[in-house]
Amino acid sequence: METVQFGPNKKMKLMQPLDTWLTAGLRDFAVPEAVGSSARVFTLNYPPLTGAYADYPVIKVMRPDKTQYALPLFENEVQILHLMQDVKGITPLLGFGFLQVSEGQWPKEIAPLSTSLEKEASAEQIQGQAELYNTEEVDTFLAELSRKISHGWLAFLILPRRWEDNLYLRCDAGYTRGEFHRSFPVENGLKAALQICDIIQSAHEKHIVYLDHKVLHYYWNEPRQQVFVLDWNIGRRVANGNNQEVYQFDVLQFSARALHHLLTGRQAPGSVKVGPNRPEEIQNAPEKYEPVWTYDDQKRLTQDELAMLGGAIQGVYLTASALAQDLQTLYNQRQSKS
Amino acid sequence: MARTLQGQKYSWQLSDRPIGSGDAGEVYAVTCTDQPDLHAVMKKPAHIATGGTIQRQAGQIAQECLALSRLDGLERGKAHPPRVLDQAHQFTLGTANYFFVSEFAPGQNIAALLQETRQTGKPFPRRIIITVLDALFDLFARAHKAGVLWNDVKLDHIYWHNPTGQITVIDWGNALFLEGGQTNGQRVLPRWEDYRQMVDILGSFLKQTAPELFSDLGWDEFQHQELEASQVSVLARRIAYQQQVVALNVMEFQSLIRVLLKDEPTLDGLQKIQELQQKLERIGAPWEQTGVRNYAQELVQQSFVHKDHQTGVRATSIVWSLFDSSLDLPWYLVREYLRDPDLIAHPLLEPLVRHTFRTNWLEALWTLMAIAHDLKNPNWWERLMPVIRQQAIGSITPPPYQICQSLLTWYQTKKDASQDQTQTITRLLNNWRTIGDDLQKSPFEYEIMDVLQGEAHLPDQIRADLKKSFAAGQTAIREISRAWQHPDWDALQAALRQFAAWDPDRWSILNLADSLIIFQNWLKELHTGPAPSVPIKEFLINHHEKRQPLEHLLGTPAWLKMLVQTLNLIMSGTPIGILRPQVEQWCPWLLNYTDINHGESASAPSDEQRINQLLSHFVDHLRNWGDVAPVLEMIKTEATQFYAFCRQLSEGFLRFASLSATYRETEIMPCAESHPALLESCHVLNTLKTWREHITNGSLDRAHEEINNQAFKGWRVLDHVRQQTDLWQNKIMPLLQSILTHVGLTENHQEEAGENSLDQVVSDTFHLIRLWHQVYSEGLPSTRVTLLEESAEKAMYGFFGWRSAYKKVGDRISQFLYHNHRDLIRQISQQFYKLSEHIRLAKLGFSSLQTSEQVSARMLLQTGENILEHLGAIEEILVKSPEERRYPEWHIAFREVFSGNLPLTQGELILSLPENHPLFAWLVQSSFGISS
Repeated sequence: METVQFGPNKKMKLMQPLDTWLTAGLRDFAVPEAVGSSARVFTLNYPPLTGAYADYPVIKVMRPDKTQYALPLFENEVQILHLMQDVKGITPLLGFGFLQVSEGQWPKEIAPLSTSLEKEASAEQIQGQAELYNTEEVDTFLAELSRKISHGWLAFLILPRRWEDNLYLRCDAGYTRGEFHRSFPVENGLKAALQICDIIQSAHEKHIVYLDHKVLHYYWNEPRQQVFVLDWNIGRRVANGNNQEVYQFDVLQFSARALHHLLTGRQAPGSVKVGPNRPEEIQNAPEKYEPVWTYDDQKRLTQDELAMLGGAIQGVYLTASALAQDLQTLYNQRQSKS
Repeated sequence: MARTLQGQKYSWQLSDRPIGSGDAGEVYAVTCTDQPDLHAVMKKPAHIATGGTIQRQAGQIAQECLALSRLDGLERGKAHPPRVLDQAHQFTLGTANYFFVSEFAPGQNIAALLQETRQTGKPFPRRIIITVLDALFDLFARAHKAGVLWNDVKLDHIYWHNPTGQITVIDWGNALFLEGGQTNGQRVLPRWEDYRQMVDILGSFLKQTAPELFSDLGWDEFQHQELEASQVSVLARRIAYQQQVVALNVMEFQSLIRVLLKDEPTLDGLQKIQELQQKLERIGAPWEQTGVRNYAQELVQQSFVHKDHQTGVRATSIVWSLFDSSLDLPWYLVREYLRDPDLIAHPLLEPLVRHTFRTNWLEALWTLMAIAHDLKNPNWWERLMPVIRQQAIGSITPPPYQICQSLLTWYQTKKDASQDQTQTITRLLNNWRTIGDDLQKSPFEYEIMDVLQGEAHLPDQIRADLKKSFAAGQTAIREISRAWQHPDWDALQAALRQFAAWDPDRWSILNLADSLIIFQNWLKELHTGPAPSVPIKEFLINHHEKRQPLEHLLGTPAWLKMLVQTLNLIMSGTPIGILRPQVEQWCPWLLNYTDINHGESASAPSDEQRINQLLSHFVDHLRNWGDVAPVLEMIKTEATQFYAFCRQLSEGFLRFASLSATYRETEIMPCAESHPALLESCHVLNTLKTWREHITNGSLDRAHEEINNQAFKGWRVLDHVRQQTDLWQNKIMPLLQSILTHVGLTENHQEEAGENSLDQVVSDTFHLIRLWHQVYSEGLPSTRVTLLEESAEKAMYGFFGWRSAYKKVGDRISQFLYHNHRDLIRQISQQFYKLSEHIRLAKLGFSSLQTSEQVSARMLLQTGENILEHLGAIEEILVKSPEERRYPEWHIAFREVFSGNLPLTQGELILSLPENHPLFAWLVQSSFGISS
């Protein structure tokens, strides 16, 4: 652990917010749904963690007014990311720690889409002291967590910044005016879903569930054709490893939210809306969703794909690997047609 | 100025510019000045040319004119050269003034069609290719007989007219004359030149557009070589055969579509139609578009009635694949509705789709408003509303909400705009859709008019729009007021819809319309009076409290003032006799009372007897299934307290077998509350309601049991229901099951059979199956295929006959029973339809084999495969037990003959097939059997 001062003219600086806007295809969009319920996210300027090409990492800081609510979520995320660090498609931890603000105010949640807004939204003026732990010091961090929070410190995590296109902007029918087959063809949707299933399956094997399957949490690396996931704070470790219902519920949430969104441009009717979701919202979500196919779904998807998706949101798939198997078949069908 | 040229017969007006020009001269579109309806083309030497060229062109044009005159349109041929209509005077021959006029070639040339199909990515229609090839052979034979050789075969010179299938061959400027027959010293007859050109030029076209056909016709055998008569003859025969196959396919697919259209619309049916349509499109043949559109429309509407949204959505997407942009506005709108999941799931989608298809735009807009109001300003509102509103009011004037939005924008961009005005308009716009929702404020309040009262600097456009729009609004409001004053309830609802069409964003009008319906029902209940068990004072007090207060929204007309006063007076104990005219109008049942404080009925004991008599009379009418309206009217005036119950009873008897999807009235009537004279009728109605419930739940057994366990005597309706239920339970259902499953089929039924009877269908099905079983022992000669086809069609049309005869039966009990067994009936129809289709296709395959010497080996094998597939499908339908089926193994055996996997020769393998194999005889006689 090392102690670092942050603020203007200091080695460590918090910069523009990253939880109020998103980028897709080199265009920036203000996306209110991107706001998190427990944390704020900013670009971090801290040379030891900055990449060779000035690729700044991000710092995810506990909301000062919601520390008690956020505490278990941060604890979860650190534990889960530590366990999942070798899984392909995960956004790994670069560091974590605690900070205390001595001067300045947290900025309002404004998308920095113009110069004046950028200034207003930036956290650059905030200064204070940070205790930074490296990724090997998970146990020490977790042991200190409660005590530090009770003494007015805020926990933070440092993660690589995802530069890829957010899948919400690629797929959501509202943002693409229904033309998302151009920005994200079904074939890519199936491929991304397959990779997500692999991540979910790996998590389940480590007795972890993700639960917060909004498509906003997934990024698509076009050149590598690879999906990346972030934000594991609503996820949790399953105490009883054989609790199949919990894993099945995780697969269902993925199907009704991300998978449905990837293939139809919207979530299944009745599923938890994209936004700053709280854990209880997801826990209380329905365990079955009635499929409603629109004209565009019928045109975009084959009958087999509709049947798979319909089954998935009705809880037919008990494991992520079973869903992955059907997704693979459908992906192969698409491939053979093209 | 258009030029006019004088021919030998007519004078011709030329188009300003030539429609074509080239080395051989220019072509103009011309109109006959003597017969303006006569349009044609004129060929003449180019107007800018040197003397030598003019002479050459004029000579060539004269040569073409001579050739076309000689051919004279080849009237009986399959392809036609254009007829010569006129030519310049003889003295112009060889000069720049020479011309001739010939018929227009209708349609498009093949080169243009080819380019069009390349652009659209669709396959080039096989029907056109094969018809053109066949027609060219015919044309050459006839033209050569007339002594003319075309000598200029090009895709650009062959015109195809799709609606009539007419082929016109133009440009005969290179034509040669065959006078004297074979030219001395030449090895090849010049007349083969046309065939050679056709084989070479159309060969590459064929290879690109229809490679399968190129290979089936063995076209490469004829390319790049000098042709002989025998080769031309072989090619002509192959083409004629292909043409026959295409014609048979077209006939087949078109008739299959017609069969499907006669059936009740289903998604399966529509998908089948789509498959057939695709086949016809590939062939390039027309198909029944109007019928298919109507079929699909009914299917979509029915799906939403039955809450089967997915079928509705799927059917709509198929309709769009079939028709695409040729669909009309209702289909565009329905597609837009089905793009939104919230709209799909909304209960008002069905009426919205119904009104849209019927182009009942006022109702469609009203329903759309109701949905938008319910979903709280959905994003589709601004997209869909203007389109429907424009249809409803027949104009594109902007709605007031939109005008106010423009006003706000104007204020916001105005430099010296008052902040107050901007804020006021923003507030008005924010409240526009909700104002009056709670019925406290009038939905007809438009504060915007007051706000703008003193505004002198409004832009002219906004001022004009506002003036025009609000004038229309005032007319609509006046109409509402007039209908309320009278009161005319239907006119009132219509006026509200007119108002909504003017301002569709004033959603609170919907609440007002609902309140008016509640008020209307309130008046009806007041008119009907209380149930026999409810004291009249209690009824009046409660009823009075339930009244919707609408005066502050619509004003207090004289009739309402009078009604309220009358009710107040009655409740204060005023004798009824004093208020007689008002009571007669609003609550005639009160006339039986002196006043409400004296609860006893004003009727004397002798009246009790009259009531008994009336009610018994009413029950007698119900029992005899007669018209109860007159006696019900008497009850209304003389036994008012029983009127409501009696009306409920009569409606119950009228509607217990209703087919309406909205009919849900299965609640049991509270018999104990009624008069003893009505008790039995009440129990009978409850029995019928229970019967209905069992039938709709698919339990004919329980319905049969219910109706047979009742001992009510002399009820004609009950007897009829019993009789019909017996008929379905003991006869129709077993017969339908037999036809579907083939269990219990016997010939005995034939003795009882009559036209359009199920017994006859059972008997025909029995014969069909017996005929099929003979195939196993006696093989399948072509005569037996024909017999099978006849037998299947007899059974199928017999069943369709029974079905349509039954549908036309006026008896509503039979209709109800039929309606509730539609699934089974549909399954049988589908089974017959499939059977007939496979038999026809198998027959078509057999007829192809009979002319096998003209077909390539690959195609023969494919035909054999197809026949076995169709026969296998027939067997699957006719032989229910998989163990008894033979075709799967026969099919394998056939494939093995040609697989080359076995050590035996093809001939040995053919001979090793069982003799009753359907293709045994053909294989033995064919080149496959002979060659080995």
